[in-house]
Amino acid sequence: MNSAFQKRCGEFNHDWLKNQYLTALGSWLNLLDGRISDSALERSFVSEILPQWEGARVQAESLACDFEINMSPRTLLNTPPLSRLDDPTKEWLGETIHQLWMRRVRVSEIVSAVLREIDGADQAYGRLRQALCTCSNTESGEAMRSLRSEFSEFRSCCQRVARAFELFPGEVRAA
Amino acid sequence: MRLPRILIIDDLFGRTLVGRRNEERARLCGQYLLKDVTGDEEGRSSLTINSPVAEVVFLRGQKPSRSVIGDVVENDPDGILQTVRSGDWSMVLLDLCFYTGRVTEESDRKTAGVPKGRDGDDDPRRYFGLQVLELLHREFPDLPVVILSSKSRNEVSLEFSSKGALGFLPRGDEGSPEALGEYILKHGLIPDESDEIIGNSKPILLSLRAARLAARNRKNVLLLGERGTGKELFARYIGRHRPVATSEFVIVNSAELTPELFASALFGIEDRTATGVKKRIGLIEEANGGDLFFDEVKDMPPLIQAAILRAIEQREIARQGSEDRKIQVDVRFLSATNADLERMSEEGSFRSDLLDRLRDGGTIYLPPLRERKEDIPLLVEKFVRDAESHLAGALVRQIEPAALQKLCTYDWPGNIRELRGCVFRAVSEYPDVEHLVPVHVHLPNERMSQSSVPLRPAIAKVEPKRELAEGSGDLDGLIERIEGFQFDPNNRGDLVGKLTKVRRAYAGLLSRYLATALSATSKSTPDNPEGEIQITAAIKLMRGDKTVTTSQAFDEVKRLLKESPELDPLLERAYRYVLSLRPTKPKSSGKKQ
Amino acid sequence: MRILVVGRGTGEESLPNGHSVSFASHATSESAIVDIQAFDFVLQHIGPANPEAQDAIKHWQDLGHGHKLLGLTGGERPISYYHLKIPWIENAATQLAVLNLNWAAVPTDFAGSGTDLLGFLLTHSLENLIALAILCQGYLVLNAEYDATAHRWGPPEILPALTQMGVRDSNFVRPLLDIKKAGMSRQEIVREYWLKPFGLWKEAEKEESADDPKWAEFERIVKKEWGSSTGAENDSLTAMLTDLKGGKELPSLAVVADAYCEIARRLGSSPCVRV
Repeated sequence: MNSAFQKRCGEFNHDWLKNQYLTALGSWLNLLDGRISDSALERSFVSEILPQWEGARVQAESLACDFEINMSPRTLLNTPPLSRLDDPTKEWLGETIHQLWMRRVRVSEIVSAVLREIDGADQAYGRLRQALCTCSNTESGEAMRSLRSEFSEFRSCCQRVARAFELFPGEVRAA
Repeated sequence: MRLPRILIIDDLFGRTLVGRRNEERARLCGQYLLKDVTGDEEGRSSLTINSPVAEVVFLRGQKPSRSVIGDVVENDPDGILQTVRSGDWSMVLLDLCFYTGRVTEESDRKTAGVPKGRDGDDDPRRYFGLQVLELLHREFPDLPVVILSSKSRNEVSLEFSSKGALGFLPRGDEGSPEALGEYILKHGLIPDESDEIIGNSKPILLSLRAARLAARNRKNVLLLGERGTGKELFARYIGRHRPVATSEFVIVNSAELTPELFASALFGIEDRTATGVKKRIGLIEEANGGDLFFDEVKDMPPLIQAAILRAIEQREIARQGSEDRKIQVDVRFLSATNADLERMSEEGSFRSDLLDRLRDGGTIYLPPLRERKEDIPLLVEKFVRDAESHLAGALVRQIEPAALQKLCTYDWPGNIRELRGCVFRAVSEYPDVEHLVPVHVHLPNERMSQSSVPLRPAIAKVEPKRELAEGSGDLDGLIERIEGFQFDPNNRGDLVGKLTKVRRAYAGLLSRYLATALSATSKSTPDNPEGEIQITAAIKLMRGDKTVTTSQAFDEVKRLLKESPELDPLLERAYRYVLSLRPTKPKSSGKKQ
Repeated sequence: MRILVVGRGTGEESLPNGHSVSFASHATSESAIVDIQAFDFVLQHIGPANPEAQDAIKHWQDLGHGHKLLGLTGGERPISYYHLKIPWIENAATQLAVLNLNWAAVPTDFAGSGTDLLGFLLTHSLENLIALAILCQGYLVLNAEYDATAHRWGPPEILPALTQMGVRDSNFVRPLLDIKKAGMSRQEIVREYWLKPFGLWKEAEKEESADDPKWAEFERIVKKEWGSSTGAENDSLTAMLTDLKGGKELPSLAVVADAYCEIARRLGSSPCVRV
């Protein structure tokens, strides 16, 4: 069963972060290295693509905080066949399997790890933006070549965010 | 050098947009250094790749390939198969999750032309990519397919492995062009970049791939191929693709060494003042740190086989005259032969333990030229140019299609060497012409082959019902006679050298039995009025067992025909058909072909 | 969607999601091949009982309906039909087997090809196995005891299952459950706990019969969700359901623990480690 949370998670980590943002960052680094030339990317990267992180960070933090309540096996008691149990049973059983799941999957550790990586990426983004303030032309790859290490560091941090999100189970786990 | 041509099947990167470029695709190409040759986008792209890793064709794998708000997008497995059939791909990169359903305003706003997706699209058990993988593997078992996905590898590692994918490239990782290049080198169907081994046909590309995989470690490799198929060139190719470059490549031509000279040539000789023999370093020592190529290893005398086995196992040798002084060696043995070493080891003329060591890194089969006739034009081009440069005053000539066609009608039992000789003669006998035409080409014996195109697995047609030969029919009587046959230990003369013949006779009997069963169970169909063979029915008849499954029947056919000395056209086609649907895994561990 | 199934009897049936299926015994009617224009998909049995099948398939393909066609066999696809180049459903020997394909997964607006349709039909949800796994967890936690001397949960035969589920320490939710355990001590309440989710508990009579056809249907569904079994891999689950069906006994803790481990493994977890 794909919940709304799973969809949101997929939209963030797979559809946006890996399929779009990280490929753009990878392409950008190749441009700085002279391995490709792409005037369209040069014009749009700093002004349109890079700042997408700002909104994405909020989304990522929200996902991390929503993980526990949305992916708990307790949600399985809301759908058949277990929804047919009476309410008191659903209450104690839901709490039981939720606590079991918290320990079995080490939910708190995973959420902390994800938030840590998001914060790390955000700090790298801040450093990159500060470095870009010193740049005379943010539509020229050549002018920004000297900032390659900052771009690379930010990309590495974003990759760690993507990998951290992989720690979230992809489905509600009953056992 | 021609770039590898890759097919990427991906709903996001493969979609075509109206009036603008697919930005996601452009960024992927920029990240992996791919040259997009799909040709579905209008206008000229602003993206230039300076040193592309590969050419790539993108395929959405869905209908419509170009979608707008309101369209319903569905997966298109038939379209995918059609595209794969129509091209020669070095590799296929395949996405896992394909979103289907209606393109809404909201979904289009997020990503142009992409539908909102349905429940189950991103369920790992239902990934469309895994279904496609299964379809591709069934129809194209030799096609290298690698998963390229942003989804978690852990979710699908068992599925993609068991359905035939060769690996998983996660999207978004560092060093992507290098990672992709590594996959292409390891798994791709790519020709020899140095142009020493000529060919773009699938059989030769498969052998080259096996050679590159074998080259990645220091284990010994056995090359099997008929005379003139380029075994030495392949050995050098393996040497060139080792992870650590080395120049040591030493050749031992077993056929040129007498048994007496073998030992001194291989192991060397220490100074012998008394006899005046000077020290000589042996070929194994010369190849230390590199590769030693044994051509025609079947001719290795038994004593030398034992010594080589010791050298491989203990990684040390001793020069003649200094047997106590051991010299450590690190040599990879690349052995080649056209003989059936397995049979020779069963007969005792080649040590089975040595055979196992010589092929512990894999066995590579070199295809005969008759199985890759589509490479003849490329080979002829090279040989003509070589001949022109060697023959002073020879004109540069155009190779006419009719001449090539004539060359393709012959089966070339001497393989590439024979073809080269024929072409060289054509140039040397006619040095002053600008066109190579059929009359210049003299085929050895002017013998025509049965077909001018490579044989492919196909639905086998049965030959017309065979006439019964004299003396046939009483199978039970034959079985009784075989079971009752007694060997006479006192008549040694009668026992000498008969094993191969007995084995051949037995294998021939089984293959005739199978051929007759295929004929007896063949069935006329509208598509094949002469009769279509029913492999499972034939095996059921032979076994007297109605419960035989298709896969059991195929395996039985492979067992029955494996040892056959020669196959008539019916059995040849049946064998190829069976192999195409149920390939045999290579005998040695870990090496795919 | 409207589906035509040829070679599996006659009749009409409604499928989940509003799809419908018509069954016909042959592809010909009064010597003419039936017109399939009105159908979205045709599942054509190919075998001796339908000698007209290959001609019909060719005819429909020639008319441009190739994308609608799927082959159907009761066993493995015969090799002589490989050339037909249509997707296949194997091991669908009866009308019921066709109806039991996962039609519920096929979207109402599906417009793909027969090959794509296969991807939906051949996968199944595991909702009943998941529910059983959850009920096992609740039951085991409720009945587990903590040995303060040995500092571990027990009884020993259920320890692997408890550990697998996530029971880690003495402070685990136990105090909350003492109250519930008192309520769960009565057999009929426990049986209601197990049977109500699956529609096997009859409220009015407070008892159920092992002969009730719903039991057979439930067992069939669980078996289908489990998939093909190779030997003893779900013996304890079978034993647990047998105990529940019997009506007299409650399943023992050991059986429930083992059943949980089996289901967990089937759902993709690593095996419970025996202590």
